[in-house]
Amino acid sequence: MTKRLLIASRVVGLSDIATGIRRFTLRPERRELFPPSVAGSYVTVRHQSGLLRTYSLCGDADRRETFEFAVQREPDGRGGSMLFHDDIDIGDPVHVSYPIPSLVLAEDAPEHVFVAGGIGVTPFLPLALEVDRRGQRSVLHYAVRSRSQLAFLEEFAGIASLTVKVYVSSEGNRMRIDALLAGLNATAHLYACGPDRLLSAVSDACETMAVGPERIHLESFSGLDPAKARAGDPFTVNLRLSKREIAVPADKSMLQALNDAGVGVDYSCEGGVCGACRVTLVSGDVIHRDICLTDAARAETIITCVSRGRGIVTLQL
Amino acid sequence: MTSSAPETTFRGVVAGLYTCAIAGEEMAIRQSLTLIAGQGVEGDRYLLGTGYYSRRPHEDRQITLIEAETLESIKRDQGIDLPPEETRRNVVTRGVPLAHLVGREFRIGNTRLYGGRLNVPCKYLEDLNDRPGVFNALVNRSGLNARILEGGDIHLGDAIEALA
Repeated sequence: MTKRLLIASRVVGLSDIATGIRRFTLRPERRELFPPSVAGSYVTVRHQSGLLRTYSLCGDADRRETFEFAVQREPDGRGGSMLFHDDIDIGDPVHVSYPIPSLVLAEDAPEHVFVAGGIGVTPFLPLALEVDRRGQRSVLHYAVRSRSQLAFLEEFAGIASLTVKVYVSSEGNRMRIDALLAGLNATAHLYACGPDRLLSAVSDACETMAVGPERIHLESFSGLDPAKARAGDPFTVNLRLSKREIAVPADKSMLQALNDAGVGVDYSCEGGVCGACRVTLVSGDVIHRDICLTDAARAETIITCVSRGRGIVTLQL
Repeated sequence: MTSSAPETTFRGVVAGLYTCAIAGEEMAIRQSLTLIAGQGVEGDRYLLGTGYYSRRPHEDRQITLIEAETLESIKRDQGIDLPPEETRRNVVTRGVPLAHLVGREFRIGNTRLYGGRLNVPCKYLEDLNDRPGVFNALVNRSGLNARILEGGDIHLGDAIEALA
């Protein structure tokens, strides 16, 4: 677990580092340094409007004076990326969470193979820097649609132990996961971050080629498709502590229904990824749709932004 | 026998002052606070309506207090080192039996307050600070929620005393 406090911060740097990708640099307002983080961590960032989104840290984990993250403009997304692109200037206050480890390096692997799709490249700069400090090697397979979408290439080029292989699909050069896995060293660990399509392809290929799950590390940054995340059959939530019943209609998430009813459930990604909106589950026929809880955790917890139920689901609220 | 006046012999002081502007934000350590009668603490989330419990407003949540002695006790007896700013209360007191102030008026510096009700600990606090055990450790000694009757500035070291 990590502290869930928000740190008052200010935007001190903004730069467009590739087509549609803006890099943000934050400094803490009331402390000298941000809390320590391990490479491969993400943070929740709170826009002044109150909207919360999670982003991988893309700066060197050893530099605690600043936090850096990059946001891809997604006009068809849930609105967060547009707000971060169009409604934040240098000097603006934002709040940022303590860093949460996610795509963490295996301790003893001599080689680390990174697979990035589009904006999924963000965690790999701090990861490659950490691999370099450890005296190990890394390879980054980086796929984008067009060359103008490539980010961080200059920084990657400065890391001696990192080899970068770029795949640009508009130029007819697609990343082939099976070919990539065929060349995987038997002791190497594989890390992938990108759209669900890429992660599924990596999972499937690893299964086919018998790459053990202990060597595979995946991070989804998008979670469920926003329309799918909110919809489903209607059901009822029974709040055990406050003795209330709240109806969840077909077109709303449980989180929305709870917050519309004034319950005040914390949240962040709204895609089943970050776990901020988890609530203790008491009983009920639950349809878990998150991608962050283990099976053991699902027995007693529910992620309210995406998961649903049949009939009546009782929560410890 | 004649009934005696309520016990007012203690004289405590302000040992720490804290605010934060939104729910879940790290508390800022302050040298002084401005109390606004009937509303709350200037710059604090419960005056601004941005607190975790702001959806359930209560006149006794204008300002919150906790005893420094409680923090020392849970460190000594339970090994939980809870920094005062992580209690998320506005005022840390020293030498004040806060439970005795429920239903009574008291002064901090030149301000006048009313002890509304004892604070109850919440899992929210434990979760925010990632300090397992804090909830149980604070049961029955989680501080005091109070109403501001006469506002003004309060400072570190200001005297706290009950009014008869």
